[in-house]
Amino acid sequence: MSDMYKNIASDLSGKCACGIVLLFMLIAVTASFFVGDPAVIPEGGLPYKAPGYVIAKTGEVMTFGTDQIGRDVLAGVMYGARWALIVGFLATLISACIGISFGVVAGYFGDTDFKVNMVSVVIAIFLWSIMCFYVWYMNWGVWIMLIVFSLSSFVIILLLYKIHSNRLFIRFNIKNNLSLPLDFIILRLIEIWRAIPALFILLAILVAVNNPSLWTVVVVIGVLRWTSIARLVRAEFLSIRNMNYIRTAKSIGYSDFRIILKHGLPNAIAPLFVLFAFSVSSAIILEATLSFLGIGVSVDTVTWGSLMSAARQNYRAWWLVLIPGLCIFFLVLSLNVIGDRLAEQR
Amino acid sequence: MIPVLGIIIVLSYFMYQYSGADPVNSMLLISGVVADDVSSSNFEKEYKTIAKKIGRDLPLFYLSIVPSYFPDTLHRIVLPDKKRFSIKLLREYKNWENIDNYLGQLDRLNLESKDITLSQDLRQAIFQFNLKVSPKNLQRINASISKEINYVSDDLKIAFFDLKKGQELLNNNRSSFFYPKILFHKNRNQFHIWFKSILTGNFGVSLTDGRSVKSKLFKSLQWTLSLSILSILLASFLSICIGFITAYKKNSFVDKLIYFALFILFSIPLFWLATLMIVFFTSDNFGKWTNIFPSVGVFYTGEGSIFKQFAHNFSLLILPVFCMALQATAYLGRQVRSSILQQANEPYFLSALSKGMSRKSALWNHVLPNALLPFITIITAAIPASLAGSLVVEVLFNIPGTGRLMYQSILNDDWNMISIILIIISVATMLFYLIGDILYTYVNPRIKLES
Repeated sequence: MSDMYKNIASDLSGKCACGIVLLFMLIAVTASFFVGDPAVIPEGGLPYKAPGYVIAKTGEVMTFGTDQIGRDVLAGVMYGARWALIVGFLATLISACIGISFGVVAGYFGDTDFKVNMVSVVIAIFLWSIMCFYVWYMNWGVWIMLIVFSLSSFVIILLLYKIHSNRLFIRFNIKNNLSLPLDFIILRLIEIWRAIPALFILLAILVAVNNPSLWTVVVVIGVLRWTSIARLVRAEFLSIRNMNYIRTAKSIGYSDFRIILKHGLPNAIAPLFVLFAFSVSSAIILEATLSFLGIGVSVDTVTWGSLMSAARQNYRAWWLVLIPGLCIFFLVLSLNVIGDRLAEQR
Repeated sequence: MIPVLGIIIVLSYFMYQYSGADPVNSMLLISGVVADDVSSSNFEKEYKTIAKKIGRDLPLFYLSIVPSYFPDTLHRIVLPDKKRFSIKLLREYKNWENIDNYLGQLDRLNLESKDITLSQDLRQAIFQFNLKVSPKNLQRINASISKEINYVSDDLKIAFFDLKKGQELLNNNRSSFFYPKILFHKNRNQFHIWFKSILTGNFGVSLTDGRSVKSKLFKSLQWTLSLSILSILLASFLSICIGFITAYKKNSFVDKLIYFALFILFSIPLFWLATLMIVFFTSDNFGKWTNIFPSVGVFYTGEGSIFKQFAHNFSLLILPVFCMALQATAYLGRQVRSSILQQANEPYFLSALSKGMSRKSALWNHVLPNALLPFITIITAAIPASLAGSLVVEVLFNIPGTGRLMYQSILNDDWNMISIILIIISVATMLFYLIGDILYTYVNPRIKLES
């Protein structure tokens, strides 16, 4: 990790980029010490006042001016940093989890290496669909349902994978003679995912959801954008699966889990960091675009995008465009520089 | 490709169905029927007629998997409130016969309570009961009826006591066990009809204004395609120039400067760039000279061919095209540069130099054509991407294109429109990927189709 930092900060622009990201993190953490709640209109605040406006009643100085209903833009910008970083990193974390697991499965097992038997596949699919059915009609909440669905799918895949050592199967001489074409399935899934325009799906989901909050935006962005990570991880694993150290590990009898976690991932993760950096920046831009269009953000959540959307009703309010925009620009620029440095060192 | 397309069509159909949008309601709004207290029975009648006309009373799909206590004919209930209510009751009591009875009794109670002059108390109690069916609210009606037992009409009393009996029946015959049941619906289902009409090119009407989806879509596609083709042409021209210059003067000051500028441009969000342009270059708020472009206005979309309209609005299109082209150049320019530099490592470049060719003409004549090969896939992928990608620019500059149409339809829950646009964009994406691959193998035969 320190090695990576040395490579990023090898020249001035890299150092600046790291500094800017750290600065924004600092602002995000300490925002509540400097400014008040950005959603509250300060007493006597008037809408659309230029930077440096002093509220006559209380003598408070609005350093960055006020927005369309008279709220402090400085507070909004500082709290906006918090949201931008949360959205960027959390969404990337979610898409990384999904993307890495799909990519690993597709790349490591390929079309031929995941051997199962017909009986266990049929049983697993049957059990899984029965369980889905009962969960669906049990009147539990949406979140519990989603968690149960994803966990159970995971467990079923594990079972499929482990079931061949079951005594019962050995007793009845049921062999693993069916190779599940996981690579093919996951590639088709990625193909479908990429044919559908992400921004539209995002808009449609956020409009269809009742009272979406920024957390919904984070989850939806994260879930929608796993394909590029999955493709990269798959390519990495395809290239290392036939290397000697993996073959050796297999011949010693290491389990596939151990090989993937201890030997495969550490070697595949380095090129991923480049993608993570770009992914964080594009998630930030996507979220800003959404709140700029006024979708997915409630009125009392102030983000950089929602500040800028206030300028759409009044194009004379240049500070509402310039200040949050510069914040987004600098954060995204420095993340891109970091990504670029990481790509260069390879 | 065909199965992928099929999955996308099915997906968009189910998104339509489960989005919570109600097409019948929108169609009623267009035709001017409004739900209010006075004519609510009339509204229900109109609702049912239209729902029947567009086939909302049919099952959703070829088959459905439902719990054993669901009736086979649940889909015939078209009123969304009633449907939601019956499903809620079904999930709670799991006994359709009694629920069906109960619903009829509830309807009768509501009908009886409408005609006569009731006391405020009783009216409130019945209203509460309709909002939330619970023993407590039932008790409340009971209390207020027994209080004014002499004033309440006999019909209402009978209706109420029937309802009470029905409630008791429900409570006593609660069951908890259920198993999955598969129902087959053959061709008489909504998906089949919807899919058939799409295949025959009948896309239905838009739910915002009742105009046909096809004509709206066709008009908007003209705008988006002209916008995207113009910006892609401009961007390719710019990026080839920039890529060539930076690769030719590799590692010089100019190269570093342009590379840096492209990097900065790459990090500017498109919507910010567009807003900045609008704020600073369309008005004279910041000095006379900044008022360069016409302010964002209403497009002339009247009669006449697309070319005539285009000529009318040309000055309005400069800024959006410029924004989109700049954004694309930031990406493409770097691609061209690295592609040229990569090709310059190949032996044929060295042999061209050793023949005595100048570096410039060798780069221009031999390296550039090879370096532009990946360009084919990038550009063929960019055209379908721009159908969706121009959303922000179209919304900001008020261009009546596909992106803005989609944005407005999403805000208005116009799923007739959304699903068609989704399908068309997905088809276009896959088609252009295919065209790109074929072109690429045609131009560059070293690549075999099998990979």
